[in-house]
Amino acid sequence: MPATCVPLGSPGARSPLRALVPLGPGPAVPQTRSAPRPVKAPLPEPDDVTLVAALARGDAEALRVIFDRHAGAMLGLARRVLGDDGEAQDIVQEVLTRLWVEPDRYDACRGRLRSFLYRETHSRAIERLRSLRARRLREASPRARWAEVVPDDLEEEVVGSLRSETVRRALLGLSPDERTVIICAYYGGLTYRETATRLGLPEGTVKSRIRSGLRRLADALAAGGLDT
Amino acid sequence: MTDRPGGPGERRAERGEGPTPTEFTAVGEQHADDVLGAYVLDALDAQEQDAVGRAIAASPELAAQEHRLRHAMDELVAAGADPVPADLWDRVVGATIDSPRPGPVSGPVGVPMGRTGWSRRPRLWLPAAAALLVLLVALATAVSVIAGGGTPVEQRLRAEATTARLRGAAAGTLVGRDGPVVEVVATRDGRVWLFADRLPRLRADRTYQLWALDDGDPRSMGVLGADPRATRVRAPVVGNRLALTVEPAGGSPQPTGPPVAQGRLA
Repeated sequence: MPATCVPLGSPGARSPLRALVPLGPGPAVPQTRSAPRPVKAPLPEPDDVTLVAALARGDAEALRVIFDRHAGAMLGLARRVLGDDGEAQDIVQEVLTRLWVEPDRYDACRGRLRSFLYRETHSRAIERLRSLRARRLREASPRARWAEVVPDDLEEEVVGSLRSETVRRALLGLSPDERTVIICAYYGGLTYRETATRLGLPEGTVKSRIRSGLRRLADALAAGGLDT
Repeated sequence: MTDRPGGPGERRAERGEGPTPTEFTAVGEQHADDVLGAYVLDALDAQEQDAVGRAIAASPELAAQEHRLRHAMDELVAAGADPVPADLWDRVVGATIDSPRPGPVSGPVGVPMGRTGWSRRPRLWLPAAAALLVLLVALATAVSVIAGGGTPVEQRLRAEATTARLRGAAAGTLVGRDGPVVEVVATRDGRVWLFADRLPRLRADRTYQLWALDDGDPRSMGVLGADPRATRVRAPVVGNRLALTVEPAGGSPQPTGPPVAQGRLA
């Protein structure tokens, strides 16, 4: 159930209007009355394939469902990468608009819709970041260049943004070296070669730390019940 | 591996380095496995990323590993979800309206989606419809005033609202179960005009009541009567969400039932 919809009578619903958005039955109009409608059991929430098929038919409600499900994570990802709220919102808007225009780009055989949307978001955010970064680097002194590239508190911010204790434990369970290279590359928008330069490490070391770190992360998440 | 024995790629491999980006027209399964993590993080150069993608597509084993690592990153991203600003959906809607879609976009094709609870959320066409209605209200107001339609009071209120709108007052449409029912114009200093041509008349012991909704409890903005057509109330607008309920005559300190119509000012 979406966060904006609190069932009447629940602790969060102090008055009927706190429970927006469902509309009431309308005013009691002294006109013709129809028999009460039978209460239907709610249908299951639509899955990715159903949603994208509906999107392809131009069903805008499907886009709203996708927005409700994924916009928060997409926005969080773009914010961590770009460090700018306005830019991050632009990215989310672009990704969802493109999905609306070209729903066929999502192939359910290649993974879940959220995975597709996160990749699109990350890819566009990185592209934007690299463009902004190139401009900043041209203007920065050589000594300040790498300090400009990745904020020092990025790792702290990423860990602090995690709302799932299982995920937080899994990430903190990595060695600091593994965690640093993963966050630096993914949220800092660096290639592994750039990460190696940034951290003063051999490329092979960064490559293997990313690989071992991600595998250990996947193992820890699976152990915490968040398997594929 | 595509590197020739003793070639530059092999010498870099001995130092723990990979091929340069220009050498990535194709990669072997072993190298793709080495950089699989970096591929998932989108941390390869563009050519290398494409080459590894092709290697994954050709290898079910690599694809399974990639899927597992990507799932881990997806969980990380999902856990870092941020609150979504209220106006982001409106921005998405605005952008999609401006974006042409190839092929047919209307008419049921195949199995329609079920009308579940989520289908009651605000619809994509609402902002466009609201904007159109505001335009129509302004036009109708001008026509009405020119043609002398409506009661003199209604004419005066419509003229006031049109003037306020031209001076930057917010406007919106309250939408009920069967569509738009009330047009609202509100100024910052708390003057609110309502034009409700499509609200059904209530029994004499009932009244419509307007509410402002913000993060706190609903705040009454006025009792409108059993058959409001054109009304002006004086009440500060808190937030931009409004709702209309049916209350006992005289009004209620808090809503006693769910809204019969609701909408946003913009």
